[in-house]
Amino acid sequence: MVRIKTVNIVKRFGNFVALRGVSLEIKDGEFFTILGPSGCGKTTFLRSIAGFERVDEGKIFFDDEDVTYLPPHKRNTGMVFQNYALWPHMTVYDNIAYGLKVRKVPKEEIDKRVKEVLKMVHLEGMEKRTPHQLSGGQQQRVALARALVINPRVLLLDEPLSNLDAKLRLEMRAELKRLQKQLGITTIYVTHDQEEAMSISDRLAVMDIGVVKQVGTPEDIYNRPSDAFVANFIGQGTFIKGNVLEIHDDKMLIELESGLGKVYAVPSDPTNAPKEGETVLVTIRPENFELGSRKDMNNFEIDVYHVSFLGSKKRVQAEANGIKFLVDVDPDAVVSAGSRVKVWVDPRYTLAIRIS
Amino acid sequence: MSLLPSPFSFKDIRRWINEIRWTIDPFIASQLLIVVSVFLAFLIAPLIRIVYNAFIYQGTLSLAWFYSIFSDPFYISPRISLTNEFPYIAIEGIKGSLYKVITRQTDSGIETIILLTGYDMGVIPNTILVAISTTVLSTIIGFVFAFIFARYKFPGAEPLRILLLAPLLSTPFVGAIGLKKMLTSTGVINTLFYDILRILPFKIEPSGLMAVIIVQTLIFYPIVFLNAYTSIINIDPTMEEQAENMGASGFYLFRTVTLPLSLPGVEAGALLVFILSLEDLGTPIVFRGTNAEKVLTYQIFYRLFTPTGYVTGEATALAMILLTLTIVIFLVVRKYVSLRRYAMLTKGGIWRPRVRKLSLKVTILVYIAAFFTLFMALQPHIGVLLLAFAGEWGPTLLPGYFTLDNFLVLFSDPDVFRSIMNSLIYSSVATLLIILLGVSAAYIVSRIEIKGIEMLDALVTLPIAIPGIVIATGYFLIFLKTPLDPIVNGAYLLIISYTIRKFPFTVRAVFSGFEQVDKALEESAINLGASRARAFFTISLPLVFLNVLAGGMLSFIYSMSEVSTGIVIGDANPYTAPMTWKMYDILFKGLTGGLFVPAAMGVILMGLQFIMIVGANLLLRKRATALIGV
Amino acid sequence: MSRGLTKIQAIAILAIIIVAGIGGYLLFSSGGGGEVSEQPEGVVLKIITRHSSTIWSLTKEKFLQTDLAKEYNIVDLKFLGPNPVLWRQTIESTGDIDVAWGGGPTLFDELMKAGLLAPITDEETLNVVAEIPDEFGGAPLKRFSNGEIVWVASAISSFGFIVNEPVLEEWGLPYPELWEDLASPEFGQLLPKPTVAYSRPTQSTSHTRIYEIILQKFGWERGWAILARIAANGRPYSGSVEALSAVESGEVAVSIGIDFYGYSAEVQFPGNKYVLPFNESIVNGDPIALLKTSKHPDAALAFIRWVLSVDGQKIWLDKRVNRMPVREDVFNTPEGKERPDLYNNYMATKNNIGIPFDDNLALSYEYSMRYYFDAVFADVHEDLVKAWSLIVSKYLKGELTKEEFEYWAYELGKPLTWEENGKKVTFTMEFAQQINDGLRSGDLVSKYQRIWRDAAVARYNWIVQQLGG
Repeated sequence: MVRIKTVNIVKRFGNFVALRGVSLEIKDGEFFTILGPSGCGKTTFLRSIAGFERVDEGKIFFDDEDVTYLPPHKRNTGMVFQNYALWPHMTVYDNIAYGLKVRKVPKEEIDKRVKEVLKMVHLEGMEKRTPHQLSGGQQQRVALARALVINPRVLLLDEPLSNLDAKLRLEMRAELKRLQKQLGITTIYVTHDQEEAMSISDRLAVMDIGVVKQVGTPEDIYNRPSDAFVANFIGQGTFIKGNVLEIHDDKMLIELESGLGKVYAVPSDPTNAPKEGETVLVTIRPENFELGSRKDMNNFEIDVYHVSFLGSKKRVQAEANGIKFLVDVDPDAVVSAGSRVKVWVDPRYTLAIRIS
Repeated sequence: MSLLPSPFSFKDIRRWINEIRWTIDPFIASQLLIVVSVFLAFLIAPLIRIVYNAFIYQGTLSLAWFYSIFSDPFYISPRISLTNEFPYIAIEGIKGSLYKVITRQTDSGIETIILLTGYDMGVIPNTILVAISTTVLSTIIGFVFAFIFARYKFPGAEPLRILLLAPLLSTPFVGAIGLKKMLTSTGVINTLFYDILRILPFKIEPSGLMAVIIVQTLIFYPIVFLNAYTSIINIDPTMEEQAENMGASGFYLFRTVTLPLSLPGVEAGALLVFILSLEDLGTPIVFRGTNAEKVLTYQIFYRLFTPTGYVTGEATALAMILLTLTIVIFLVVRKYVSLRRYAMLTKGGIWRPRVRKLSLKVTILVYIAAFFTLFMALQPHIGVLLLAFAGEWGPTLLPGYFTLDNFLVLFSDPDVFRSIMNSLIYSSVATLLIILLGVSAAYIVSRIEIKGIEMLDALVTLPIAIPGIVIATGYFLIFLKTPLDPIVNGAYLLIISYTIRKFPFTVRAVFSGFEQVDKALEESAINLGASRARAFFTISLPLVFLNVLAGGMLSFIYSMSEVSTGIVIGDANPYTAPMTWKMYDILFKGLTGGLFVPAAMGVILMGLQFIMIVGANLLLRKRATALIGV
Repeated sequence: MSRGLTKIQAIAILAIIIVAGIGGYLLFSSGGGGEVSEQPEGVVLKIITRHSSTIWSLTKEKFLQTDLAKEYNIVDLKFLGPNPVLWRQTIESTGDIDVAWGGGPTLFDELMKAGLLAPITDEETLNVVAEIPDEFGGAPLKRFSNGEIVWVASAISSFGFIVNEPVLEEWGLPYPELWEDLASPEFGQLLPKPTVAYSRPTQSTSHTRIYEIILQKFGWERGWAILARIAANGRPYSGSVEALSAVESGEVAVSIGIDFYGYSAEVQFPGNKYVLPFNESIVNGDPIALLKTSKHPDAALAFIRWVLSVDGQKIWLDKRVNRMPVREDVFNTPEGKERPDLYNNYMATKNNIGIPFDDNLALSYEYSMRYYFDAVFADVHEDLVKAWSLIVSKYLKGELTKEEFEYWAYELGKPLTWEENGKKVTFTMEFAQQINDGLRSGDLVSKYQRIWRDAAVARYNWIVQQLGG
């Protein structure tokens, strides 16, 4: 269990820069997720921690040890690849025991630990099977068991659930989280699925084009996206561009585009608050709208074009002056497609993000 | 994978028949019928006839031939007996020796020559041992180089790798001709290492079975090389990365993960070399007059006819033994040689390869090893080239003088010219037939998915396992005194033989092509109203056109250089004989046994081969490496 | 995906169609060796032959120009040269071959026995045949069946050996003059290095002839003993040409062979010399005959007449051919005068007192002789050499007296004895004659070759054992 720190790592592939100075600190025992669209560099980052990619610039530390130039087989990380990489010519037992054999662990202990870890992932009795005799979910668990049995300093997971069907994915997600908490092992998890990231992470980092856009807890990132990209990528919402007219203490007056009028908003990231005259992206989460109009709030009038009944709420898709609005209302609210409704939102939930 | 469809109950059979009626429409049915009939008539029938004849002795069914052959010391000479003392078995009857030392008095003193002759254990063990030796040596050379080129980067790697494939440009017959001169005690190898470099204190002259092994190794190793190379670069790098993640490195990593995963390609290549060695007639012929004759192919060839021109029972029985050997090996390798497996392999490397740079020291070592191998591997070509342009060549290092006369003979001598024309015609017609039948077969195996279709797959790849001499024997048994009689006109059976024997090349290429064409493309055409036939001609065929062309080119060039049936049928009717027969004829029966004119013909063949292979490569680009593969 | 073909595809298909068209046309119109493409304008004669292709082209060149050819409207000559083993089948299966030319008396006698030769009754041809002597050097130049002529020799061969004089000298070997010289211990002193080249009889009719000469000259028992020693001194090659190449290139010092090989060697590889063993050779007439299957007997006979004429005989004088003509008067022509060397050889051959040779006797055991030789000398050559080199070295070292040497040498090669069905059988001449016909079917061949191989190896090993080798 270690603390991981990367300082400004840069990785190039020919002319393409995959990591542009990534500095992150991952706490001991933390479940840390790297989230981003494909091509953002998250897998490259993970592989750099594992040692399969040698960074061009920067440093990597496991606790206080500088492992930047340590070859992968000496780093004692446990990696689970996206395709599980189970060796087809070995049984489940041999696959899991491999790392222990390399470490010259005596046979009785290997037996014991393999049995233990199989029990942990609920695959008792599968020792003699070969990978092609296993289902997708079972293969995934073997890969996990293999990584865990060696007691690695850090667990590295590269989109391990993306090949599973939806229901299995949810189950495995919970299972993973539970295991991780139980073992207390530092874990770096890579995914492009933001819902997944939000649900299991202690903290997460959102990356795009080789750069970390924001690091924080899921709530932080959801409620206070620091960046237009993050805001767009995480969760859903209504996004309207605007111009900052005035700033009073913590509230700002913003002139919205497309003639939607003026609203009051708060900076999403107080440490990076927009200044007067700057262009911002105003972001409103669907659940923060209310039907009707109220004084001293931000009011809008929108044309509804689609209503989805989602059981616990109704999701209203509407537009006003060409801008798309996404509004969540109570399940028994009366809204129908083709109607025009009034909605309001508290300025405290109207976030303004600098557009750099 | 079982060869036969496995319906057992009547209900299953009925269901199977219904499935067939649903999937196979008249178009497919007719294609299927034609392909299967051709193969049944010209591949299966002769083989069955051989098997049948082998069990007949003087008119009745009996095992007499086999009994006689297996107890004849000419065919199997070692006799094992039990003794009273350690190690409790005694083996006698192994003739010959690995080598003989000969000393000669020359002007410059005493010259020691180590004549490599090899053990002679009778025809059957010899055949097997030669095949094993060739396979082992080819595999070592092929695998080592495959690994180096697949995993390491160093300057000049790419051109070197292509050069090492050079032996693919020569066929066993032509290559052996070229090598023979270079390997003698006054040839290039000995002159270089003994006279000039003085590395060895003696000369080495391979002869007999040893020469056969050396020649075969030099010509076949690229097959293992290519297959192993493809296999290694197709290894999913995450397999090795995971092992590294687990703490493995260096040799341990290689031994536990890399090696097992590259084995399929190596095995496929090795087993193919084994079969090719078993069925090689050309090399023993070139080295005949020594114990090289004591291999199955040569003996069948030598003992084929009675004084009255009929096929002897002995030859038939020997043919059956050879056939059994090759088929057994084929069944083992069929997994790797089947069309589906082949198509998978040729999808090409999609990963970024795990390559490392080599240190300078090791790079130099690799270069030395590669150049040495290259030097040996290019001897056949150099030999053939020198011979082709030589006017006279006594026991000296180089020819006495050079001339273009040998090439002129190709046009001026009507027999030589006609034999070349014959070859061109037969190969062209055969290639046409192969394309027509091969496209059908490939289409069917690719698109039709009913039980039993693997049989078709097996049938069309079977020719790889059937030695040419066996097919020739079968043809003589069946087709004498029929309209296809080879004595009257060898053209028909030669065309058929080429068609059957060189079928697999085109079929594989086209099959790969079809596999890469999404079924949905045809299905949308059918959905829009096109019949299956129409969809085939307007959608599927144009999309695999390049594959057809490339595969056809390969079939063409290998038909041109085909030796076994060409020689036997050519002997029966020299007028219609192909050019390989003429080469053989001039070599051994032309007055003052010219090596030169056959070499000139060999140059033509090599040149054609070069053009075709380069052409096929260009057409298919990166997918082509595996095409030449096997 | 657009329908139709791209330009490349169209061109390729066009090319394939053109190739197919040309191929099909050539294939089916020229008809290989089978159909006779008889144009109403002319006759094509089909000739089955063992002569070399050089002779084919020379003949075509000269004959087609003659008035004779024009008179009979002969526009082309088509030569077929299959394996002699397949001659009978070829003639029968093809059914329209006109003439058989060159292949040795044995082969032609077989054809005669098979009823394939047509007797020559045409007067004009008989007149030309009368110009050819009936015999030469003791050998018949004409074969009669029921009083009619079925073949006539158109060339003459003798049998001897070719010596590579520089190599002979370098290796310190005595100059051989007679067959027995090749069997001498001196020629075996370099063993395991072979000094003599010879072919397996199954792969050379000319060498078969030589073995038959030796058997008839020295008698059956002694003949085999000598053959064994020659075989042991040398190395079996796969054909007369290979044996010739071996001596030409200096691989061996001597090769047995037919005369025109020797003459060619003298011309092309100076230093090589053909030796005709005095009183120990025979002459063969190399026949030409009309086949019963001829569709143009008149034209065929015209061709035969030409071959037997002075004009036709000039072909043998070509420097690439070097054969003995059957008519002495060809040496009076300008071309004849240019070959005094051939004339000398001709006269030497004529004056060589050949051995009395019985063709029928040779025929009576021909197959047995060939397969026996093959089995006991060639197939188990190593064992043979092991025994012989031991005998030779002991003799040359003085460990064996002359009598002992003769004794062992005879033991080496005398006809083998083995057990069959509980009885002792020896390879006597009578036995050889008995099984000769049966050997044609192939089944007996493998049976006996195996018996002979085993018996031979047993004997050679016994000799080695006895001599304490």
